[in-house]
Amino acid sequence: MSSNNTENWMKDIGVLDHPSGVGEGSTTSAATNITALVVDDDSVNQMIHSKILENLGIQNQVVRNGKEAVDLHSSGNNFDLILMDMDMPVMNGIEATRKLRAMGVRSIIAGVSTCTRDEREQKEFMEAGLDDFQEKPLTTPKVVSILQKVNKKC
Amino acid sequence: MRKFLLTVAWLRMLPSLRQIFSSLGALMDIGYAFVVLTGVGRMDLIVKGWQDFGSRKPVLNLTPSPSKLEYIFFHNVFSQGKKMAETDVKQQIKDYVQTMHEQGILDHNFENVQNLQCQENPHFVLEIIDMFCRDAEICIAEMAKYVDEPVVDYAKVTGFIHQLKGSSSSVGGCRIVVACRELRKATENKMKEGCLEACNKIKREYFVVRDNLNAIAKMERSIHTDDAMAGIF
Repeated sequence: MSSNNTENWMKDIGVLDHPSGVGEGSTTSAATNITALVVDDDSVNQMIHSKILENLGIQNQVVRNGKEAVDLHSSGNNFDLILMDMDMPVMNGIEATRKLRAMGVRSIIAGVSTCTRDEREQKEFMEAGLDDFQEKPLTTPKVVSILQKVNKKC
Repeated sequence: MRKFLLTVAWLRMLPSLRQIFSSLGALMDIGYAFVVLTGVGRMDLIVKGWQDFGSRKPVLNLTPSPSKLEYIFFHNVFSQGKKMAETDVKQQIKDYVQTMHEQGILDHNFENVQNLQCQENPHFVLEIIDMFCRDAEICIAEMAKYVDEPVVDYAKVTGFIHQLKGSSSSVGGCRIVVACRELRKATENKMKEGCLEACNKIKREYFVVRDNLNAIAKMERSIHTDDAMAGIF
């Protein structure tokens, strides 16, 4: 997906500021009004997922497991989008998703895991309260498709 | 004449300038000859300044300052050389990654990582490669340790398999992913011998990927070294 296509899409749905005024002097803002939380125990995936979001102009935070995600929400933080890995130490993605939904968190939670997951486990993950599921590794087009859901929900 | 010959020989020893020289060939020699013979007496000081760049010390601190002729000459030569060198290296990286695809060592996910690199974060690929190699070696060491024990803790091994598979997949290390699946199967069947064999396969595949990623990292670093040296002007 070219950066122009991504940017145009984001402008059309209002998550990226349109240029102010007409003419050559106007510039687009790189920021969007969406916030995101990356929940993943692997440093490489943390960095890649965070970078994808950053390149899309989305402010994001990173935590290492489900418990840290739950604690973050307990202390009053809110995010439009949560990218939740499935297998993590301390608290996995399934348990964390259940807890967040039980707390009343209405963010879009997208589960992220490898494609060879047990179908039963994947079903359990969806039933825990996911809005979407994407196979790893995440790419910009996959995140954009999740963001379309964020926009529809808003 | 002796000074001219010594100067040219001295400058040819500088690795980054060699790259420029090889591109511009005979023109460079003529250029240098002109500069030297016109009485530019500070060639040795300019060389020292460039040596400082090569060792990553900051910049040129020459006294007396270069003459305008020296400054313009080296600025133009260096900028042209730098642009040509950077384009060459980027093409080399592209060709190298393509070869890795063809050999099945890296898949398209590595290019996804490359596409995330931008001006604001020009070292992203390097950072990912460093991080992946560091974390993968820890994972592999831990897996081998648990698999070697008289009673294998298969749950612990599975945790490390998952981690290595995830990060390998993200950087395009498809053969490591396949080896991880084999180890996962062996742990599910609780076969110690199978686990040992699969573990060794993971190590072999990792070393191949690591060596190739390090080659890419070296090429990436050479671009950034040229950028640092361009900062002189």
